[in-house]
Amino acid sequence: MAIIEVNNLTYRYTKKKYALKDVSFKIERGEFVSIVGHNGSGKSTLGKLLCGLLQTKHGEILIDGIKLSDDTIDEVRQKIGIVFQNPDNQFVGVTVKNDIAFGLENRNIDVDEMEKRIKKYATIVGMDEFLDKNPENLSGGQKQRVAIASVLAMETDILIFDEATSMIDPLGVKEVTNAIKSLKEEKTIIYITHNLDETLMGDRMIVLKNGEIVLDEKIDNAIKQKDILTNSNLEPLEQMELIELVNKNNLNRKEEVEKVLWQSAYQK
Amino acid sequence: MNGKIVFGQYYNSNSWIHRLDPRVKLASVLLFMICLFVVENIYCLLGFLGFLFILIITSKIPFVKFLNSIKMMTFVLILTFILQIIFRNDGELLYSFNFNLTYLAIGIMVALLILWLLFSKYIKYLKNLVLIILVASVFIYQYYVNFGGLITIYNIDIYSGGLLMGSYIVLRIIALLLISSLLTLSTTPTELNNALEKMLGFLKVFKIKVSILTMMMSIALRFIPTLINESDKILKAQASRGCDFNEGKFSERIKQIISLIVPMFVIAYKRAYDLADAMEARGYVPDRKRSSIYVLKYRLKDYLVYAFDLGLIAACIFVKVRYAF
Repeated sequence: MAIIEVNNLTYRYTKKKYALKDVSFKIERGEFVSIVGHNGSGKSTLGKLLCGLLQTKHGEILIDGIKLSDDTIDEVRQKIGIVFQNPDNQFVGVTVKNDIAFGLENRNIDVDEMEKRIKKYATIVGMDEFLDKNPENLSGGQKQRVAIASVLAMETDILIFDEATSMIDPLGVKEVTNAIKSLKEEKTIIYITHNLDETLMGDRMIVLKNGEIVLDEKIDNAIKQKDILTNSNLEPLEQMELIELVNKNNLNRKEEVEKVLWQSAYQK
Repeated sequence: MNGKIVFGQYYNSNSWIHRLDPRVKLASVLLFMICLFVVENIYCLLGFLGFLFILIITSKIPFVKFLNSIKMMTFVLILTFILQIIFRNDGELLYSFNFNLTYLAIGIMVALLILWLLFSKYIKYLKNLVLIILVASVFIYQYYVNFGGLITIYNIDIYSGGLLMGSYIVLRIIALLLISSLLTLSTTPTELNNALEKMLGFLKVFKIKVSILTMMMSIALRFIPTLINESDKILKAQASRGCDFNEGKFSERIKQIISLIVPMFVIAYKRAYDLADAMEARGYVPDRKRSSIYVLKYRLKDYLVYAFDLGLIAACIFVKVRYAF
């Protein structure tokens, strides 16, 4: 049974404009699915709908077999956690420890168990030495790793990362993506992004355009669909363009490849 | 800018004050404040201040942090002191100053005011001191010079009562600032939140949702430095586009302030919206039973502090009743 099942999901913020239109897909347990799309394509709306932060009457969402509704929202939130774009807007606690504890306190978990989980998940994301620090004073990457630990500590089966690297510097991106990669084996991951490079971490890619799914394929095939990606206002992977360039010019020798690559770089 | 604001900024240290139960700290601060108002004697107040300095030294928090909170209130302190000196006339007459208000003096005042308005923006250092010197010079002039079309002679009498009361009020405000800063610097907002939730628990009887109130307070405290940082960024961004908040007519200044307030509101709303989502996603439901990572448990030293508090308030009441201080 799929851990996430979305059937004919439609959502609109205003009467005229659809944020999501008749979206259906299934995600298997342990899968790493990247959801990509341009700004306003509906990917963040989808993330919020999946964890019940937005609700719609049009279509249904089943999380681990439970239909998402007002009555089941608490149960569903024990299975799904979300890390948002801006780590600064997610912190509730004044220390890292405090913040990781927030979700556990909401679930009325006892102190010993909380202490254990805080230590465990802070270590996983490499923030165990910062437990008494104020999140305000950390770097962008460190802040986002704290946000990840806060969600991990809740031990949900599904994790959603909603553009979790878009507001941090390249070094921070590396820290965060490394932390996410380490979770790949144990969790079902939905990775929302507009950066195709980051989708390579995953198994599958869903492309959204104006609220509709235009591509849903295994990652190896998906990244080769240059036309669909370009039409969806996404920048195709540089590696794919290079391969195409080499093939197009029928290049064999190292010098030839170098020459054409430099020419192409200057033309850009 | 951020570093200047003391309120809501916890200073991490491992002193005995930091380790005290937050309920004890909160109760002690309240009792200390009551004591400050019960005792109306300057020597007792100086004793309190001495005691406060010992607390501050043992708290291992840099004294500069406390000075910043006093610095913010300097104007209020000076104004209070001056008003007390001028308007209180009990006790012994210490000094009497006769001032000659002349047309020339008024002209000089107006000229100085215009000069100040025109050139104050070019003074980079000790601006407040220059202003005090200018104001004082006006009175010095009126004291020594009596020509230039005398309008009237007026006098300012300084009584021992005014001087004493002025000093007393200023010292009391300083003590209040120091003790409240000591509380917020040595206690995290979450600890304060937990302490308040426990201490105000009895309000549940009156159907007041204490947990929601304390959560709101805790988040407000948590976001003060963030929003100050944000306003600092907007100020710099607006300044880089030629917006000077210290220049222009009154109406222009209002417009410039609006260019700060509007984006601040937008940012605050956006942050509040995002935070609400993040809290909800992590299972926060208002007024539902929650556990806490910090289990509040009284230890021997907490009881000793309580005992000391009771002794202190008893002593204050005794001194007040017995010696009518």
